[in-house]
Amino acid sequence: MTDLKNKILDKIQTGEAKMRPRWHFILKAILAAVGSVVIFAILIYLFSFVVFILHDSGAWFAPAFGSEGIGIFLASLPWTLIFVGIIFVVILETLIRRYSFAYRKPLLYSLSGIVLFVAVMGSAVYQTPLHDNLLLKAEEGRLPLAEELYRGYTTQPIRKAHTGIIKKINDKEFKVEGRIKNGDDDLTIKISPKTKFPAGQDFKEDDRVLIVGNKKDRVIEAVGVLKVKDKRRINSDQDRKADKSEEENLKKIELDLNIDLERQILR
Amino acid sequence: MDLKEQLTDEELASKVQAGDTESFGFLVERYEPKLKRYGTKFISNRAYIEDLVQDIFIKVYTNIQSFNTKMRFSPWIYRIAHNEFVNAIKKRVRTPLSFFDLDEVFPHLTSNETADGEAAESETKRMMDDCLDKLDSKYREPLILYYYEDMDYQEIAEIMHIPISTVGVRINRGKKLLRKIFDDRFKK
Repeated sequence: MTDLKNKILDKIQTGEAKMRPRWHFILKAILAAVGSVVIFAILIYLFSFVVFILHDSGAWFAPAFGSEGIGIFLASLPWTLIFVGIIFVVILETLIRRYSFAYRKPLLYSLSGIVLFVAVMGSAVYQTPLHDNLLLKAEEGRLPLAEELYRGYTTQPIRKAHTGIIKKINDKEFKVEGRIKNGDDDLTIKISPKTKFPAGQDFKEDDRVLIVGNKKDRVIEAVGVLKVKDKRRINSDQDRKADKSEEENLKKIELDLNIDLERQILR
Repeated sequence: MDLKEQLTDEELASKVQAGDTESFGFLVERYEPKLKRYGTKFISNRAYIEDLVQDIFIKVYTNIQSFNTKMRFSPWIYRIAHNEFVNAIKKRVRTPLSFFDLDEVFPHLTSNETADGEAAESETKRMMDDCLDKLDSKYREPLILYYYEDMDYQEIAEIMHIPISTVGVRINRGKKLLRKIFDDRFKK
């Protein structure tokens, strides 16, 4: 018997070296898995929130104006949230790098996998009314923890870009009701021959538009105007339709009940 | 001859998991010389290696329930040894903190395992005996595991937690660097 073997067996027999129970490792694996899922969920939420605020401010559509638009887009990115997201990606990568499916492949693959998965799931979450509902709650003061997050990011003006709903329209100007909450209630948009329309000039009242140009006393000399989708309004239209159909159903039930009641009275 | 001596490492590990301490003694006997030899490639102080190998076996016993007996025992114990020796080196030499190595980030094309000829292999081993201490540890370890411990790329990847293609890249680069060090030292 070797010296080392004796020493080690002695340590085991005296209890100096103790075997950790199997549940310890199972629990550790479960905690790591739960941690990974939680971080994935946070990343998906962050991604969808960034897409949401970029759509809300209109900056998402700015690249349609070319290099100037790309500059506006980059300047309006929420860099703090992106930085937080990168930290979570690094934590997640470190967590999953312990497993053979991750370390057997180059890091680029697992990182790309994480980013792709988060982007796909985040885009799917963006399509749901989650952020619209949370923003609504935040505006009504019913979102204690995330109120500042929603109110802060959705009211931030973007440099040289403005969004609003067209209220009046003619050949030379638009009257736009701004959605930005810093006093831009009514804006006049001056159109000139130099104004760019990357998606054409098919505008009508109630359209939501993104305007690029400098604002002076509620007047914007438009460098470019672009019609953009308004998800909030689409959702509220859908809600209205749903409410209407529910109302009709209730009326029908009420009518049926009244008929039944009349029949019973007549009997 | 004890019947346990005929059992595989995995069967012995399974017995240890079930509470048979004596079986652990057989594992210690089998791996003590291997781990000491492995340790000499990292650290020159023999007494220190002895202490580290003892710590490795204690860690193996403490964590044996996390070993999956359907897998091979050898890469698992070498992984523990790898961590112990690398940490020991880090304690002694202040190395800059590196989160990820670029070799592990990108996919590599030259990753296939190629068998050296007998002459080439013995030449590489001769160069390793003479110049291994001059080689960067990230190249040194896969070379040791490949040439001295007779492990394949996949087992080395399991021990070092790096992609299989990276193992191939490091072995090839390590051999080239070794050749350069060897030539600089003896042929000039």
